[in-house]
Amino acid sequence: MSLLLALFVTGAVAGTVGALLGLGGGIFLVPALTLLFHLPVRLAVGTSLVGVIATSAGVAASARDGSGADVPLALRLEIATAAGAVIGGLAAGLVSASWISILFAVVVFATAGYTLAKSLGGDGEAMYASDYTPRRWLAGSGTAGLAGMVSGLLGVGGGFIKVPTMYAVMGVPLGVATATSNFMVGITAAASVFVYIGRGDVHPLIAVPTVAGVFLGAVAGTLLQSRLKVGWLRWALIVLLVAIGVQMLLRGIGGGA
Amino acid sequence: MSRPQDRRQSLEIGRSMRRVSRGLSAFALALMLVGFVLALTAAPAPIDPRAYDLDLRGQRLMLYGLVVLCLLPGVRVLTAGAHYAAARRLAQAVVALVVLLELVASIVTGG
Repeated sequence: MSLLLALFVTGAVAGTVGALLGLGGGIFLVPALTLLFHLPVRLAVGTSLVGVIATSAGVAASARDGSGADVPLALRLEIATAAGAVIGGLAAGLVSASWISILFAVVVFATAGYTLAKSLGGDGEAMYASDYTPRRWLAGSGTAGLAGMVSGLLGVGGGFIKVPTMYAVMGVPLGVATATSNFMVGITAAASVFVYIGRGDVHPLIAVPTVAGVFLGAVAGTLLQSRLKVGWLRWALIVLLVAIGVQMLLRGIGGGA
Repeated sequence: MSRPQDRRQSLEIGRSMRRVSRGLSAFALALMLVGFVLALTAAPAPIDPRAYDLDLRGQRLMLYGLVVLCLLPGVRVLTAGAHYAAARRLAQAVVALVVLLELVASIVTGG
């Protein structure tokens, strides 16, 4: 029973952080389930995919007017992401995964730099707003496409790059960018989760306490986000981007995928 | 998103999505909870959850709950598409339809 409770708590932490940063939570769930609970990777990934959908659902269920996802933006970027994934799949045999990793690391560092530059611009910006117009569509769609390409080639999610791109490059308020990203990662996870369910890689007694924790964590994260300062979330994103950029760079230099 | 018409429609879509998300999530979580209780009361608790000799009804209910939850992203895209179609915003309705078709194709072809 204590193990089921531990799964619930792990899910709650992943859901809270996933909702706050717009990542879905998979980036935390897979390592936690494999390293702390010693689950096989396939079982961990299957559980994590349902967890990402639970984060997306929790954020959507607890959002208030003006703090939810920008649906038109999400749908358009989702098409760019899918196109990138297809190109990534076609290019898989032509382009070295190492070079793609290095290219992606450069984009991640550039986005971190953009976000840092925005943080130097001063505080006082709102977490949510409705009177904005997304700009630099080409750069935003290009980055979303690259995230899809990397996802297709290297098997990593792209939520961590979509939030700073929407926020720092396209001028979307940070709270709206995280909600939009959570909507998008939910769609991406739904595209592959049924394969895992069909293969039996989603064990109900592991997934249910985890998913319940993730859902409640996502609701708590959404409520918490409305009380946080934009600057705190911005710095959390910068630290995360630098960590992922270094990991991608090392992966590229090491030649592994 | 800056035009009043866009903002109003965005709020309406947001509210619809919230209703859909709350309804489906509550249904899915209820199924999971009932299944979870059935499964736990049917067998003693071993150290590893995978070693549970699960009650079949409980296992099925939990799986149904998980599947319902996993359908939610598609239902949300469908809701948005229906809103755009009703408002005769053809370009955005087509975008929603493309995303939905892409999602269905991914599910059918195995991701």
